[in-house]
Amino acid sequence: MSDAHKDADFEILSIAMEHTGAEQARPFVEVAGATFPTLVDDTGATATAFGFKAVPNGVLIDADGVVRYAKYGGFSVEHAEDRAAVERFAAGEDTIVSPADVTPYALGPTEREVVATRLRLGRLLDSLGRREEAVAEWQGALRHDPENLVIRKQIWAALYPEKFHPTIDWDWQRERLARERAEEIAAGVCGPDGCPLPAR
Amino acid sequence: MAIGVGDKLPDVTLQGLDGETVTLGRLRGKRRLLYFWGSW
Repeated sequence: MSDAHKDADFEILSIAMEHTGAEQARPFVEVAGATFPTLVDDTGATATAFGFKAVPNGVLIDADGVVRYAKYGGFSVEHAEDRAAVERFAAGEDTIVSPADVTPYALGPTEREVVATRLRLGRLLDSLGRREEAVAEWQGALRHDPENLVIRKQIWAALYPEKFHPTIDWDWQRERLARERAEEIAAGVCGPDGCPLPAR
Repeated sequence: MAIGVGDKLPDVTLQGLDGETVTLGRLRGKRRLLYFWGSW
């Protein structure tokens, strides 16, 4: 097989975790001059289904749709080892080693289903203009997984849109996260990995 | 555990910026990199 033929059997699929919708993701894709397709996850469904709580992540799948490599957190083609893994896989190599520390996600399958359902229901309610009920569903989902930033930011974007447009207020996010987590832990909502020890 | 080596992709369906509809669990025929990112 020539290299050109092998490269034709490889495609990049970018997935923008953009809770505010596709139009927020579009400028980033255009600025990057991406020639590959971009899908938009505006409900966090992939985070729940895949079991990740943050980005950026890289997953390599073969022609049968089976995962052959996964790196959750810190994946970038600007990192030499991540880029090498992708290039070797694209060239037809099968023995690509994933990082050992795949982010654990301790929710059981039933709980994941509950979270996914509440995310979808919230999205449906939001599309019907029932914003308060939508946020209530998302907050219900967050209680099962309070460490999940994808869900939490979905709620923030709905309640505090001014903190995301025209620019993202990162300081506000940091303070808000600390305050909300402190309140949740005090109320006993600690998530599947347990309650973190208080800072000394 | 998170989706890892040897697993099939979940059947999540997403819309693309060019109007396409893709169900991740049905992707076949090519090797692919799925790259998840956020602007936030």
